[in-house]
Amino acid sequence: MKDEAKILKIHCKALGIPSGSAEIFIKKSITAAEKSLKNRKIITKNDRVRAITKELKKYNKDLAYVYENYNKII
Amino acid sequence: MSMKTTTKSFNFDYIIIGSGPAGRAEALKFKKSGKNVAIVEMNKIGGAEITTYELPFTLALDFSRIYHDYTTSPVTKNTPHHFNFPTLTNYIKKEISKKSADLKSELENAGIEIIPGFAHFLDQNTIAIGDKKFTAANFVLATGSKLKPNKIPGLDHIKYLTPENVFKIRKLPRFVFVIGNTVVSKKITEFFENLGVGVIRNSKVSEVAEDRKSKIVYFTDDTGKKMVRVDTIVLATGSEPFLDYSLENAEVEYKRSGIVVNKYSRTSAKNIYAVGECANGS
Repeated sequence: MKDEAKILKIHCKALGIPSGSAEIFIKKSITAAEKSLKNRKIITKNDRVRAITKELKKYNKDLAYVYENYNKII
Repeated sequence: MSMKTTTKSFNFDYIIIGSGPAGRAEALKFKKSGKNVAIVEMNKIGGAEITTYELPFTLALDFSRIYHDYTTSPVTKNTPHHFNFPTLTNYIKKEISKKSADLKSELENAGIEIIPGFAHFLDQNTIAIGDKKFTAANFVLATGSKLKPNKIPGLDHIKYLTPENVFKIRKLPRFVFVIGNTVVSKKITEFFENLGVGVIRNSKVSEVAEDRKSKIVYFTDDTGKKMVRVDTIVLATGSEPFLDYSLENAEVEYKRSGIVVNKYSRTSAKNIYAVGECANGS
């Protein structure tokens, strides 16, 4: 999940989200997502993205949208 | 339902996820037509019908009604009467285990493989259970429903009972608050009232809290806002389809009301079907 944190920080810079608060809610989102997936021993990349997106929506909907769709945005 | 037959590369022709009435019926039907079938269940065989709702509630209510009639009859009400509450809950637990074992034998005798565990989709033909993967040409989703989450302030900070564990308590409470206006909440209310427990049932709860003495419930009824102290709170506000098993990986569309299916119970994925309470519109 360290890669996810890096990607999210890059998106935060692009969206102009202050880095201090971004770091806090990114860490909380990733921790909550890991907790929600801890019972699953086989996890796909899509499972991880969905779990993190679900948690991010509580803090910043724009960031959640960008993270969920960044591979699809051309 | 018409479906394509398996190729040799799959573990099974059909995997049924959920062993409730809908799942068992589908599994037995496909097995009878000569297919290679497995059924996945994360709890006891029989689903919520056996472990949570139909069977335990029937047994508990039957006993409570007999006890109520005995204690209120002009003939017997003045005779000494008591019952051991843990004996009742143990009896319910044993009956659930016995019924579940009978259903498991029925499936095994029919040649259906039972795979215990929580399944989630990796793709349209593959599920993961623990660290094992299983593949099937077709899937039938019969995952039923679960308790609807409730956002009453304070609920996260206190212990409360639900229909799943209300008959697993070891001691009869003196005063119970049942939150909900569902059939299940009414059955729970009747059960406790028949056993002589003070019960309030209300769905307009604004907040719950707990202190050293008891649990506190703030609610509104016909006469206005009230506060009451109780031993036990039971949350029975209804259920919603159980859908949290990576349906997106299998490209199965769903809404909050359930998995989207057509009139043949087929989902948006051509080889996946949904039946019972988890399907939209059922």
